[in-house]
Amino acid sequence: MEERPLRIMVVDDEPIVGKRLKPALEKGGYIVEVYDDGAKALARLEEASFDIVVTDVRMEEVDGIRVLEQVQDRSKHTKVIIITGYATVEVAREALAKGAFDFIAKPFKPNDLRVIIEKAIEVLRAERVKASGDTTTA
Amino acid sequence: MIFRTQPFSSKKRGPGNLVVERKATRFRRLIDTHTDILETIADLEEKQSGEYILDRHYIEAQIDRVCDGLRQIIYDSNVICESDGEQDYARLAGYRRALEDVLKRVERKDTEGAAIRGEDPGGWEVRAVRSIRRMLTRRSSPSSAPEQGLAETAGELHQRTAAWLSAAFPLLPSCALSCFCISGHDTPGIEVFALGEIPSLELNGNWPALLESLISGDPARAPLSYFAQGLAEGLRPLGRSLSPSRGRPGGKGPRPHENQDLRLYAGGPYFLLWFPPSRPLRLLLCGLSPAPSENLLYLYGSSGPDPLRGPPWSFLPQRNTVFPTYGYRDSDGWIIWAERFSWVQGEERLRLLGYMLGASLLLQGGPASRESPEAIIERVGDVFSLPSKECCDDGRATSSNNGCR
Repeated sequence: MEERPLRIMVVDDEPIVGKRLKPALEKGGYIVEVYDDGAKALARLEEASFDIVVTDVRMEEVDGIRVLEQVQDRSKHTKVIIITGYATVEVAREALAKGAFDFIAKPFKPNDLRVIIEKAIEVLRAERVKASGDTTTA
Repeated sequence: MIFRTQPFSSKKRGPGNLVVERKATRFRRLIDTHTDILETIADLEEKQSGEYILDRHYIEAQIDRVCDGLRQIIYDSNVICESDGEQDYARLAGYRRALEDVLKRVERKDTEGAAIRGEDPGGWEVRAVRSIRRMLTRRSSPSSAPEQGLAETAGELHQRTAAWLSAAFPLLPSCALSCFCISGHDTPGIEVFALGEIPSLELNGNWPALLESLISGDPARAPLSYFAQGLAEGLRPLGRSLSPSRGRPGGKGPRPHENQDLRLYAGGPYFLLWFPPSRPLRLLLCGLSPAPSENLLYLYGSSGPDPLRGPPWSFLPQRNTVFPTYGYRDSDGWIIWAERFSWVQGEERLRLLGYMLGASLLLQGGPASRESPEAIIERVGDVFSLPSKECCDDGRATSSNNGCR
């Protein structure tokens, strides 16, 4: 089975995050879209699907929990990774309880996020294999 | 050897002791807060490399943390020293304003597309972290003095408070060092108490052997026993010059503590050494931060009333990793010194420092006989089979346990 490049959305109202993450993740062969406005990210999620969404939890107007909920409404397979601000681990716990795949606390190194993304990819692959197996059986 | 445990609540204490106890407890908190400020600055130092993705919230949180820490130190220091601290609070307000201004200025420069844009892949945030860290660690100098940084102010308050405690309770300089308390000013000598159980080891005539027994203790419970081991090596010649303690035949005569030449108190992360008045250093306390994540090794010393015969600075190797905020001395001869310290490197590093201090103390005991740190290190290398200087070309051979194996 030929694998298509994974699509990753990064949402953070601090422009530096997207600016740093985009090139770092593209190096891994992923297609990366970056948004510094939660509302625009939600609009984009209406028209396109992503394998992984990385979103800051604390943003003006549309926060990361809202992004998480919208992703879950549209695609059960998409993995959401929450970026928490400094010392907001409680919020991250809430996000995990709501179904986020994992979280990472700022400040972090791009490589730390890459490790989490790779874990998410493994889970995605396993889910796909299981889904194709179920289809064959049916 | 008298090895005993003295639970804090085991003796009745009068009101005077309660005052000391409260001040000592508050001073302990001051030390912890100061450590937290240093850790925050160390964190900023790490984050200024540009490797990390960080944002404004992080920077604001760090500014809050150091300013809140300094506020706490000011409060504790002024309660202990019974002063109002008006100037200290004014200075704190100045620091907060200056730090917030730096943050705004660097961010504005970025927004306005200043020439520096694009220079730093970490963005304005990393530049702000660098500026803030620089501002926090700025040192005043007598010649051209920009205003001192917040870290130096915190260090001065720490030092001032320790000196005040030392002067207020001359029988118990140790109260300025940890949670030790005196049993009563009307009692001759010193009884040492601690919050929790601190074993106290009293050293009389055969102190090197007794020290040895401490050294053979469990380092996980008393990691500074490594330091004691090095110190014992360094002080070995001194052992010969100490006269054995006399007992009290028939229950009369001097109490044992009145004849003690040297005392050692050790327990948990603390290690207290009391020297006879003839030595240049009257008191030394070493403390390891209680948690491995708080990797600071503290040394405190008091040189007694004669500041000219100050503590042995020279035992510190040049170019070692002394945290730049520390290294103060005031007119009362106090030093407060801390070193970044990794528990992973622990054993030999502590042993080395202990040895160097011991050797240096011996040397300072004689008239104008001083040995350079490099010379001491040469000898220490023989004793502990440290790696040769060729191991590191960058000068780290002086602290050769810092991973150059």
